[in-house]
Amino acid sequence: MEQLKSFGRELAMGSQGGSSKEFLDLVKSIGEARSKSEEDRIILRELETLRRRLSEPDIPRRKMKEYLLRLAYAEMLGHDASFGYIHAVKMAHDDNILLKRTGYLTVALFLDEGHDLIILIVNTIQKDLRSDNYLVVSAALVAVCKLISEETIPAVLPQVVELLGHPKEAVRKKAVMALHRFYQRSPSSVSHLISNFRKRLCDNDPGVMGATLCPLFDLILEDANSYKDLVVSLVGILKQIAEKRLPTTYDYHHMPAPFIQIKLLKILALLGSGDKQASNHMYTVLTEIFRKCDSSSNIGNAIIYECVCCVSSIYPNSKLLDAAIEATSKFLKSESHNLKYMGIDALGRLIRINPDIAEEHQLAVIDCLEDPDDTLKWKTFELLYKMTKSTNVEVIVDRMIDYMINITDSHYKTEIASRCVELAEQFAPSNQWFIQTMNKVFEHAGDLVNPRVAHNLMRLIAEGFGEDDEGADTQLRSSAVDSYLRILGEPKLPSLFLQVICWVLGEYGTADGKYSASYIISKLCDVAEAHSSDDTVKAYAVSAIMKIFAFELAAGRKVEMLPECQTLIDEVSASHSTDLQQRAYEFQALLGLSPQTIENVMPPDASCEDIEIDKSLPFLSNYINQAIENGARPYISESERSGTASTIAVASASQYQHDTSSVHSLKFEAYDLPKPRGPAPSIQSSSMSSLPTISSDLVPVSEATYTTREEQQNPKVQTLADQISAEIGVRLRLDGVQKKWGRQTYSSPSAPSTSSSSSTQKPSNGMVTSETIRENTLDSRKQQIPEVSAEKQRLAASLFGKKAAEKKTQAGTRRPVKEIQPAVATSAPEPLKEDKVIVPAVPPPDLLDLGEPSETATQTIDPFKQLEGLLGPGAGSDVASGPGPSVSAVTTTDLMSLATDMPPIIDSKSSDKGLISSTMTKKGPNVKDALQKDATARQVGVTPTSNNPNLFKDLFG
Amino acid sequence: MGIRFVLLVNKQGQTRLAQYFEHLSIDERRALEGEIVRKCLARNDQQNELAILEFIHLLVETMDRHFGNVCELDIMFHLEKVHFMLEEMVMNGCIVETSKTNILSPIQLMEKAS
Repeated sequence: MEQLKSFGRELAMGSQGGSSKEFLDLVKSIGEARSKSEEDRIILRELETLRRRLSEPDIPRRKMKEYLLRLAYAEMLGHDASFGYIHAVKMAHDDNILLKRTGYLTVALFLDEGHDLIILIVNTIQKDLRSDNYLVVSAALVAVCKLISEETIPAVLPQVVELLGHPKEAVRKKAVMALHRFYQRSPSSVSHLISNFRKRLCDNDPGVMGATLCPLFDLILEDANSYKDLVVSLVGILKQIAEKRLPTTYDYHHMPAPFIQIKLLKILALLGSGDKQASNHMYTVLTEIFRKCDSSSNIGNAIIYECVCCVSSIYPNSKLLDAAIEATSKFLKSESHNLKYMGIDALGRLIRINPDIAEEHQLAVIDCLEDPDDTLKWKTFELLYKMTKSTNVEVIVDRMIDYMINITDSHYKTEIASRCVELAEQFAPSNQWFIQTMNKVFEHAGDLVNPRVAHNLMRLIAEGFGEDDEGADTQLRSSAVDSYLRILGEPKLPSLFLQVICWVLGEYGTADGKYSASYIISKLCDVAEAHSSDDTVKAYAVSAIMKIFAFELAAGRKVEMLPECQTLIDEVSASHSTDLQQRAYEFQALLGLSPQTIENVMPPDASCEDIEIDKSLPFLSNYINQAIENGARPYISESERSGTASTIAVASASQYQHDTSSVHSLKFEAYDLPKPRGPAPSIQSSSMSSLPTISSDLVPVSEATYTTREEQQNPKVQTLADQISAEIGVRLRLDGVQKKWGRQTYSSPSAPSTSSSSSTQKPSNGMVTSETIRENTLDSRKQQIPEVSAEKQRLAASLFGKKAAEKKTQAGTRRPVKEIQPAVATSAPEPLKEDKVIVPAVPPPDLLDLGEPSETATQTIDPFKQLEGLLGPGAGSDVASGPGPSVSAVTTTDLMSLATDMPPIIDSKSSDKGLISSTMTKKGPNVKDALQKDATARQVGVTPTSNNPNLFKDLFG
Repeated sequence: MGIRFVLLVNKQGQTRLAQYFEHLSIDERRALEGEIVRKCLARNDQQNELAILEFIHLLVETMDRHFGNVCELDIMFHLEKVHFMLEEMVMNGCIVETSKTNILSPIQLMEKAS
């Protein structure tokens, strides 16, 4: 029956659309294709037919339209139909609006704005923009948005601007979007027309107004400050929409113009971010929307979600935050996966303002983590990643690793591996745990991890965690060696991980005397044998074996040459890889040296020692003296040489410029003024002076050009080798040859690593401090949720803070507040002051703080006064810019006003007086805790590498 | 840019309509359509997924109004019309029109004119 119905429908469609049987058959056969290859065969046959048909003369226009759509099918299904493009361009010329628009459509489907045929369509567009028929103008404007490139903007810009005032709203709307397109392509091309967007925002037609929000959003994203004046109008528009003043055709599922509402909320979020005044205008309308939105429909929830995003972006308002939290908890409690997903995302936004919020929803979060829906799971991991801190890092990273092991998608695997590494480096509670975690990551995703992570791990094991505790370092290395020897038994280890293992075994395999040299060597030989096709692993293994031999021999012990080791060395010394060969020969040479020499060549545990480089190269001085005695010219330093510019160098410089300009067919920029170039004259003069026997007119100009060009390409790499070759008059072709002595390559291996670790040290420690503060406030507010499984409770406790429960009981038996108060005042002021000076624009993050002043007013006055005393005279000189005191004053008044704004909330909290005062008592210990943790974090030394998110961006390409 | 492409795919994963708001070569499109799930999930921070879901629903409702209980074959036989609807609804990757009347009126007018 179903089939019959669809068959009847097919017939009806075929006849009514005027399509031919061929088209009907094509669509049918594509629809019935069972596999991609079958579909491909159909399309290839179709393309052959079309090629034939299109070469026929005098094709009727309606027929042509059908051919073009058939071509569009071919392209849509992934086949090239470029032979028909020109017909699409031609069809755009047609007078019939339907054919014309089909022409424009297919051109846009086939061509991108850079295609050669586009130039043919610009003329048509120009003509159509002037048409009396608004449908034609609309079609042309749609084409403008898709086909006009930066170069062709001027050709249509005046007409588009004129159309902004067209009587038809559909045209005005599209003209706005065309201008938007020009802005996207080249902001400067429409910079003088921006005011038009403001004007169109007040258009009588809601469609035009709604479309204008698109360019405004982009503009405000770039520069919010220039559009602050729009806040009032935008809020007005949003209010009108929410009050259903728009035509009902814009209603969708009984919500008034929801897509415009969402766009407006996005814009308001940008404008209100960090701007109290602007945000003030928004509070009422946002409250209204929260109240009015229908949370039973998807679109209503989409608006609520956008509201939550907006509330979390603008200057915080406690009432609105409560509404946002309530909405979020509704999402999380919902049965729908989609809503849960939105809830997790919203929660991620809200915890940026108040980390305590996560506490209330811990069980919902855990449910999402165990949900079979992968998208939801992934999103939840994202949230957990954001809330990781040193107390819950073990649970979170363990979960992540479990997840990582179970997924097959390499993209997600890489991503989650990188996050595990990042979190482990940032928050590792112990070295053992860190090593174990890294082992797991390498074992299961080693091939997906960036090599730099491996090098970081090696460096970490080598450097240890603190200079004062040598024992701990040794222990760490021993445990690493133990674990690696164990892991080596497992099949299919990733290459990168094997490299780390080999290196660590070579450096520390025999260090603690637990394992014999021959045992470690045999293990390394096994590795090399098992991975005979991996030259890098082999190289690491050979070097490791060499180190073990060296350490043993230097210590005066004899090492027997194991047969498998001999085989390996023999094999490697005949390897195709010169690198492997060299290692083998070095190894053999090393065996013949005396113990003292060996110790000098391969000192034990010296991978972290700086290699001293004496740039004066004193070991060459004998050789140089000899050469000078034999009549060579002494070396002239660069500074001495730079003053002597030779005329030939200048001549060749102009020659060079001529050369480069002839390479390009067209030159778009103006020619540079000739500049005096430093290095070129110098090398010229030295080479000239080094060839005194050849008179200057004999030096071929081309050769001179060559040297200067070389110089031009590598202006910084003025190398010693060049100098020497110039001195002795030998010319080597150096294009593409790696400059061994060049300054750049010389310093690169050591410099970046040290600088990165030292530069990230500070922020990371700062982060740790704030994290711990946050976590402690989080701990203090654990909510008891009845009737949940012990398993989940435990997980929740480990994720969201173990001490939560104890804290509560502590709060019950706390000491009197008055005793603690002075302690707060004496230990807290320093960080508090910093807080206020550093973040003047950012509001107080902890809502609990808002409650304090009014709640325990008599008590809080003292610390504040003390604070002021501290800030007062000293701060003036301390804080150079001087905003410190004033800002703190402003924020305190804010706190007061906000606090008085929200009596009901405080009431609900103050019913549990113990809770409030427990947070009061937290203040002091918090800072101490934080400092202590900071100190331990420094000691642990795992923190340095990672707090900068950008760092990891380049780690995992 | 909010919306980068719109694809209509049937339950077997076969493409039935594709409109891109940024240029991709045919090869790139093939690769993308193959890995579409991941690309969909690699959204930027400011995307309201639920709203996009509802936007797709709005597109379906609009097609429903035009074709009357739209089915896969409707789209296949009237590919250009669905494209026109989409052109009215999305420009430069932004949602510009959500009133079904406004979306469909030019299409109906064009049908009448020819």
